[in-house]
Amino acid sequence: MIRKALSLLLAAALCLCLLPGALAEAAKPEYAEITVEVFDRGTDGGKTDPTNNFYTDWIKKKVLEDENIGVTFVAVSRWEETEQLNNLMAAGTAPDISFTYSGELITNYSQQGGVVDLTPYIESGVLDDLKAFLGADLAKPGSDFIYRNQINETGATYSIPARRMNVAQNNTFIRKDWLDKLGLPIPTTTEEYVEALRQFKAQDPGGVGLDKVIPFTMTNDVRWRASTILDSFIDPELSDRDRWVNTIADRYFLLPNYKEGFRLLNQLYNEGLIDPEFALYKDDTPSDNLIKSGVVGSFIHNWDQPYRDTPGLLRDLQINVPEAEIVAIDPFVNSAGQTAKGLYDAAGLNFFVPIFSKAPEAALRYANWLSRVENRYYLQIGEEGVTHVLENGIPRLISAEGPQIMNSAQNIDYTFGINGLDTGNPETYVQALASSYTVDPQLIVDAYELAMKDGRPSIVVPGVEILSAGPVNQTLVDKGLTLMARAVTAKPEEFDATWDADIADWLAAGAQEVLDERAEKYIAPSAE
Amino acid sequence: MVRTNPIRRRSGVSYIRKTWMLYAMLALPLAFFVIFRYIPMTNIVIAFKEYNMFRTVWSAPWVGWKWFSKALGTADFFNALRNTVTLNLLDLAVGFPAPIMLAILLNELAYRRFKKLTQTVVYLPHFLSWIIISGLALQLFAPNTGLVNMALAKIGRAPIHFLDSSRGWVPTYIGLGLWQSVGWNTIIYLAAITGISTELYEAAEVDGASRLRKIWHVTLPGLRPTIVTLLIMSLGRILGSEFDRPYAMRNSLVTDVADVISTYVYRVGIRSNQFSLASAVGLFQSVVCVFFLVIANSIARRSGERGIW
Repeated sequence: MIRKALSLLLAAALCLCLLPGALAEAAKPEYAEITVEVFDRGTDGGKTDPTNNFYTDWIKKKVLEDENIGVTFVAVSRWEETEQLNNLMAAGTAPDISFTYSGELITNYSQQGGVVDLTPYIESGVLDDLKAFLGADLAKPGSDFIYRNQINETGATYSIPARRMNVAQNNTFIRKDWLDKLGLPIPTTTEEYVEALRQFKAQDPGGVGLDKVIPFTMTNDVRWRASTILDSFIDPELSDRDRWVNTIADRYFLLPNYKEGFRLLNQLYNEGLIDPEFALYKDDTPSDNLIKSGVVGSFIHNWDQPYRDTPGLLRDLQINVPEAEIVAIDPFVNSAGQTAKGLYDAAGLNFFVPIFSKAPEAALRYANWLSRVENRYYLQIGEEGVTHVLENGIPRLISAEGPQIMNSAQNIDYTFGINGLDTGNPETYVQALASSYTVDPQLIVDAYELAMKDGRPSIVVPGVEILSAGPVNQTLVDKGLTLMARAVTAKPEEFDATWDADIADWLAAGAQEVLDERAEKYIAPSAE
Repeated sequence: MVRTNPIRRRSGVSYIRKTWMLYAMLALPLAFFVIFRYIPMTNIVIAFKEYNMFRTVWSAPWVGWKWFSKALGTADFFNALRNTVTLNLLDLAVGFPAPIMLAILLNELAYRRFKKLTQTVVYLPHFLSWIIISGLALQLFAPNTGLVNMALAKIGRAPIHFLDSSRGWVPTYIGLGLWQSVGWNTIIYLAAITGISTELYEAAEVDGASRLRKIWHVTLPGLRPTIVTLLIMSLGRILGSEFDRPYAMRNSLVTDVADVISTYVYRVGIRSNQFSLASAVGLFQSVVCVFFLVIANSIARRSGERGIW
């Protein structure tokens, strides 16, 4: 008792001592060294070493001054992050701050006892700035967003999500100059859209050669590259529970009526309207090259994909075809008369601290430091006149050359607590966003509006771990690719048999087990 | 060989004194094998343990045959097993005789510079990675934009689905394998042919043997030990599978014929964090391979060949 009182007294005395700024130096915590993951996107074209550049120097210098922490960055390939993270975790050399978009992967690690429980740290106030920045969790009333990944049964928090400023997910794009040439209107229904594809195929408005026109291109990741078409077939009356339970490995194959979307794709493929080589495209590159070369009429992708600097679809297309225009459209109406589209959950990238970390507290202090507005904001927009200019107080990003070039948009790979630009003012958000592109801002405003129109927020059931998913997830993803490719390319009369057989195989390969566990663990959001 | 006996008969001390330098020279390579080959092999026990990456191999609890029965209980494993055996047997049937024939053909060429040139040209693909070859394959054989199918379209033929149908993919896979490796293996046979005494050819010529006769009665018997050794070694690899070739060549439409054990292990074991399962499948694969090797070797020895041990 006496000891407790004494220590309280001491603590109070210490606080009093620290109040004058002159003594702040003494408050500096002990020096600690940490490692922090950074994605290596391997982008070419004058970009810098992700672990050693202008921005890492800035971070290192400032965090050493503010928090007495020495930071070393560890590059992990964006495109092989799972494999590389597995290796780093197995070798015990994963960075003190590691991150991944895959919640399943973190569950897998934490199940094996490989991840630090962050709950005590959050409670002790180490992460207070981050907690304030992340705010309340709209999907879990009465809870802080920082506790989004807390597990209900144990109260442990193995990872903390980033806050996504922009939840727009995907859009359908079409060559407006082709529509204009054929005198066709912007498609507003599925039928009009299909008719436009047929006209592209029959009339070759781009003059690229009848045998070369590809009305619609995609890759083997069909559920993503045909998402707006497929999602419009999902029964809009479906309950949140059924939708959540039947979504396995982030795939909608088991949702009622989703199959009919594939039937339409199958029909389009057999009419020759879909890129006949899509199943051979294991990534975007071949399909991107077709778009850039000017033979493609339409495609579906990230809501702003053609306008991004990387891969620069519109920019490169206009080099080949100066009059080319790509616009976002929204034709796929569901049975409720809406153009329902998926939206991202507000939780993005998750970061975690591996169990073998020697300085978990310092790592978390770094995460907290990063979430302070003066630090993240500078990293996101850079220096005025170099990486952005201010217009009416709204920062407009400009592409920098030289040492201050950013490897990822808004330095997202360093500012892992935030995904998207936070201007501190929701009203100016869309303008700030639109002016961060190098294309006509109106294109961005329009695309954003369409992507958000009738957007369906993703269903979140916080705090539930699906244990059976980890070991089978990759198998289900890979088998899903086969299932989708076979369904699209089957002969129309064999479509049903192909689909049903592959779904049965998919269920047997582990999807059924996951489905059962999800059905058992679903918790309806409480109406607090 | 006669001299070893008197040394043996004397005391061991003097034998060691005489030969210790040779053993000392052997020590380094031996240490290499012990440290880098045999000690890591002890980790194979994780095939029988509930291993995870945050435990040491030895502290993980034993689970017996759990991972073996788990692997053997899935249709995917048997599919991968069947594909591995099928593709390897086809590789053997096509890829084994080809370099022998090519070596003999090259050997018969009178114009030496042409022979050298051909030899170099056919073995160069060996240095291309499978990633590059699969890229080339896409450029050549894609159904719509591939060079071959564009040529077929020009003469009014329907495209051949070299890559995107199971029936077309297997021959393409085997053919590209042959193209990549034939030249390299030819070098081994050409070296063996050089070792055949020219007197035998001269004698055959004196006896009036034709060119085909000489190939049949001199060259091929001269190559026989090399052929048998390489055949035994190929049979030992019948269940083994390289990774980059099937991984780079496969696509979503042909997984039913293209998923082999190595890609299965990569997906189910490595990418899904089930290292114990991956080890169990790997161990199974190795045991079967050793079995085949032993059988092939004993058959070879029984039929009068030297075998590989």
